Amino acid sequence: MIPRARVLLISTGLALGFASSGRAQNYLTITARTPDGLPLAEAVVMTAPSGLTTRTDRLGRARFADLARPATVIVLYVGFVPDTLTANQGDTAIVAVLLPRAPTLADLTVFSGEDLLTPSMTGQWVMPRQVLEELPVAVEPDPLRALSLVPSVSFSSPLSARPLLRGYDADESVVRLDGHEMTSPYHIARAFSGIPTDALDRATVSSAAADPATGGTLAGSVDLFGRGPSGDAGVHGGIAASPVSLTAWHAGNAAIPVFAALRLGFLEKFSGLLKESIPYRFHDAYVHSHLTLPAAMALELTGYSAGDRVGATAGQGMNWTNDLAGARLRVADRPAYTVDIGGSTSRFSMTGRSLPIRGSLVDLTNQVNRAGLSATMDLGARRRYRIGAGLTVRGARTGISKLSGDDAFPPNESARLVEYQAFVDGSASLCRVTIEGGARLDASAHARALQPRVRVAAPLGRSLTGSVSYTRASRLFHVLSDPQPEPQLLFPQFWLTAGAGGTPVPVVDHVSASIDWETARWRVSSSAYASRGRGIGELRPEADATTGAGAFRFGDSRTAGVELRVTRATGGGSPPLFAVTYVLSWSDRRFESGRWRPWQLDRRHLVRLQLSKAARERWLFFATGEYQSGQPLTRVADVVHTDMPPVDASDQPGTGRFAYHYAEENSSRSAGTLRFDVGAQLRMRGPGRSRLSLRASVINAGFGPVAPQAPVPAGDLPFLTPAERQFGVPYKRAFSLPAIPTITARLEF
Amino acid sequence: MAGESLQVGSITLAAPADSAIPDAAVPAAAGAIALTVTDPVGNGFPVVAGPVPGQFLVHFTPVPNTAYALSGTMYGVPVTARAVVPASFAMLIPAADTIRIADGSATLATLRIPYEFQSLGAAGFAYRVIAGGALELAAPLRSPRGEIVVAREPQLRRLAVLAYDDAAAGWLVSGTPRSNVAGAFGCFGAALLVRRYVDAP
Repeated sequence: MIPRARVLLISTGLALGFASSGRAQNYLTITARTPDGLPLAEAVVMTAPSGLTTRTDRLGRARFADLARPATVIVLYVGFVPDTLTANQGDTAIVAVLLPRAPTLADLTVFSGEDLLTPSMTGQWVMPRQVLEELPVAVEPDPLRALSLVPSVSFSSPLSARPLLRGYDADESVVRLDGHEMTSPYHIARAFSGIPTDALDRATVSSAAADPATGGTLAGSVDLFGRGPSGDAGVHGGIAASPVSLTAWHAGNAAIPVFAALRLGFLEKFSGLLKESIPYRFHDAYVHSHLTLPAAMALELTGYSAGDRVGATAGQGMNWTNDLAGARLRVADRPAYTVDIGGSTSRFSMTGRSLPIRGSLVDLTNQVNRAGLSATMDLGARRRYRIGAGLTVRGARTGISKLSGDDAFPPNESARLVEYQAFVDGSASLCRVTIEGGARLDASAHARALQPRVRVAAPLGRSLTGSVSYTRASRLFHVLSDPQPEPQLLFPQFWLTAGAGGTPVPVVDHVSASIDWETARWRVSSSAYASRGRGIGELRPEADATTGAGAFRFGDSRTAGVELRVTRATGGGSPPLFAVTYVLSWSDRRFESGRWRPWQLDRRHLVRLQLSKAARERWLFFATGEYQSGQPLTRVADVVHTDMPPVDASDQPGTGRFAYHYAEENSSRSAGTLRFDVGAQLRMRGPGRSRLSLRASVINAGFGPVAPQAPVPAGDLPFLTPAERQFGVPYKRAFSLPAIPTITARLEF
Repeated sequence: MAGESLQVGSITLAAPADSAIPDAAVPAAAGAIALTVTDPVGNGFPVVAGPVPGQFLVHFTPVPNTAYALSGTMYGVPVTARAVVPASFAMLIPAADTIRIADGSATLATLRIPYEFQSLGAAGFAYRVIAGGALELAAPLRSPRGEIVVAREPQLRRLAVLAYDDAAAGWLVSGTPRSNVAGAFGCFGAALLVRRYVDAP
């Protein structure tokens, strides 16, 4: 039975929806929480027999209006045993207490229940911490690198923690911490996430910014949610040690509802692996608190601070600090509506010395300050209508001192950009079809970008669901950096104001369609997507020999692809669990040449295999394998000799050096990459509720090729033997990664 | 080279990247080169073959802050290019014509010479140490101030510090050379020169 007001919404829009909210309605509020009272945000709530579905908000609450009773309510959350409750006539609120259980890789797509709920239905991949940890790790668990569980996510190499979403660079997506936008959420070298896995409750990935509330991205979004202040499963503290860092965390109690985590990293020991003798240290700290205030108000506070220092070698070096403070307050929590206000401020500061950018060397200082306020109002049950507005002041101060080279850089800039945001969206259900639609507007003194977004999801049968979506994504700034500096630790990064000084406003239109299918033992998630963008920027690559050109270039983008993930479901007798992912994709760019060329990190084929097997309740064995076809390669056309002529006739002829004249950019392909990782974990219980986890893993156990090919440096040609040069310029992998054994230990109490 | 009456350059043949890479550059045949350098008032100076294969000479004296054009053919292919000589280049430190041990910090084997210069219109810098007409050391300078390290040797050596224009910097300093020559892959660039002597036995 579909309420009349909901049906009308589809054809008459939001205005009628607001009017209808005044009608007396019968609400049912469902609160999802852990046995310790921690709210479960983004838990899936389904009803039977009506078949309605929704998700809990950040306070773990979901609402249904005019729900026929009695009704069966099923609450699902990855890593927890589903809870099934009955709502009888007259009930206005029920509480679902979900008991934790060990999640597995297969949980990513496995929801037991009447309906199949997979990304096509929910639009997001949700990964609890336990799932993020269930991967063989290089050096230490990393929440962003663990996003490789999601088909839409790829990485340039095992040394990068930058998630590339469907053919767009990581800097073209947004990463948020507890809902607050983070600036460069990595440590230097971007091989490590800026926050440890132990500090997180879960991570979610949206392959495209389908939610109109999501801004600051041209592609998708990654949300990191910190652990709650009350611990979980009776555990209130922990210490984790890896070869390069030590992490400690502690959760408070009802009297002191604060979670805090601190990590200290000493990467000097990692230097040998990178063949870089660079002193490198980092630290990060995270604080998270939930406070219940009078008048049913709830306050959530987030604090984050990180610092990195890479010591000077040959005059080069880089330091940065990254700080964030945010708060969200629910000021009204009524059955018919909720009002949240939020604010955050962040400061990112970077200093780089002698950073190579194409043919130039620069000293670079960047300071990006951001302060924002927002307000959101949810009207009606199941978030049927939502309006929001925000104000962000983004200040970027860039200092560029060119030490050498012929590239043209913009003048030192100290820009303050005031951005206004507004969004409105609504959702409605017709039969079992869920329609979500809305629009987002970002505006500044220089530009404005209207971004309509719509998504339709529906069960197509008992075991089949599907969705289609259209999303326009834009933002009023650019973040440009070297997408693949590894194995180098240092890289340049620039923030530019869009719409000012000839810098275009980037806009990308995305379309996607997903179908998920479930049988008794198998789950299949599939998606097809495409996008077309304009105003896309990037740093001009080294192989671009245009004289006197700007260091940046702007043009168009287009992507397309098909993603398929097959998972064997959890069954009795603890069978091996495995998931196979295949992605066929294209990602092209078009710049001054006017011709479409593959994007630097474009990969045509990606195959991933993920396995896990529990044994005797204490052991967990896991393995992953990944093959990616080669990324684009700019071949050398000619070897030239750049003679340095004598200063006058009294000198001997000057010395010269070999140098390369490149062929057309990205007109060839490197050989593919292949890696295989294995690991095992032993869990032991100690006194009280304490538990110890010992984990051993080996990354690239097969010593496979993990880096793209590149021509040997031209300066190395004179040192090659004639035999090595007889067939022309040799191509080698940009770096070799040996098998990296890692042992980590975690004590929780 | 501004201020010099004889300009020296080289023209060599590129080696295809998919064939054997020779040990040294293959010089261009003198008969295949027909080039002229033209100053702003239209005076043309022919490019003539030098005494060494692949070396070519032009007899004229470039002036700072002045544009010059290259035109002609190479192996029958028309080529054109343009270069602007940097406007100024002054070595503030070391100011004296001859650098001695007291001007830097010395060890038994090396002398570290503090330097500082000012320039206008230059895009890259380099220095060379020339001993007895032979090049002993050549390296780019990444900053307008810093230190140059030279070996201590009994003989008097010349120190040449160069300020390149955009074209020369793009060709000589960049990791990937940038060509400013239409019709060929090469550089027609300019530089200002400051000379010092190093007396560091």
